[in-house]
Amino acid sequence: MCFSSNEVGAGPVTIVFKAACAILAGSFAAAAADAATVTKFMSGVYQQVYGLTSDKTALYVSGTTAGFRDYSGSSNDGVIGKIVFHAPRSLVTLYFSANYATASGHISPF
Amino acid sequence: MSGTIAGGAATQVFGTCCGAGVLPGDGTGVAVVGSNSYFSDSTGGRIGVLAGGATTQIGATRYSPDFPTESWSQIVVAGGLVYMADSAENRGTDGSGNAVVADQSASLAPGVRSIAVSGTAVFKDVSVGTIPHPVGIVSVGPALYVTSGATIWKVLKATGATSVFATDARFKDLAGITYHGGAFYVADNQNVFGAPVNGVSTSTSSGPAVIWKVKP
Repeated sequence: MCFSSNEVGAGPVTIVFKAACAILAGSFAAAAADAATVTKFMSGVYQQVYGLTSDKTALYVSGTTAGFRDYSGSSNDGVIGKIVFHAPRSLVTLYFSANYATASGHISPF
Repeated sequence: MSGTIAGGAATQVFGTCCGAGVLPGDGTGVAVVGSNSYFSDSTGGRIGVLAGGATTQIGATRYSPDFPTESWSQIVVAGGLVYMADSAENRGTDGSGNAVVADQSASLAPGVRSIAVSGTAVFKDVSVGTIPHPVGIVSVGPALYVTSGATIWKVLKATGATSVFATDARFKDLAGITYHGGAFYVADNQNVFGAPVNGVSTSTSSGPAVIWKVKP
């Protein structure tokens, strides 16, 4: 999965990613300072979320609708979801795969 | 990959499980750079790349491949290196919906390691022995940001210097992390684990997941 080009801004620096898939690699060319404020972006995002990545407009999450990888296969669906950054935020499921722990393969972290 | 599609079609580009492929294990991490897809395999601690339709293992198989001893390793690719957050944990459920984490330090010491995507493919320790069970990892400029439990750690790529970047009383069990628009976004599965019994911890409460925004 690849996304179109993206911009990541940090303070006065804006980096334009020509290689869109660098987003999925989680590599960004801007620095961060050692002080942080924490706010809740969204709650109730499936049962478990393993991986996060983003493009210019949205976060993409990989996870499951039940507990961690459930090898007993009891109603445990792997999911990929999208949450746009701008309000009103909503979680849209792009893909889900039932019977997660058997033939479907795992939904793994980005 | 198969299953019900909601909004988009999925196409299998490579199967990592149970066949005769280069990495016949349990795919965990994935990172895409250009047309190359890098991935990690929990069973055996292997790193691979899918490029031009061919799959190649990068570096050695780091421990004897087996599902009961597998260790979850998410990855990030930056500056020609694959960085891996070697959790030394296997994550699953107990069949009753409770999250279970099994300590796999016997397979691999927890830590952050790297290996070149090309050239001499030797695993190198970046930060080993400080971060307990690293899970999510993202690269921002000269540093890696790594989740573990209720803490986000900062690791300088050049020196391996490791320090606490952020923590919060609301954090419980952090997982994936990414960076966008000057802020980090961190997944928190809200798992609270009981005391380990024979190296296995079971959750006393679990999910739903929360995503935190952490602004430097």
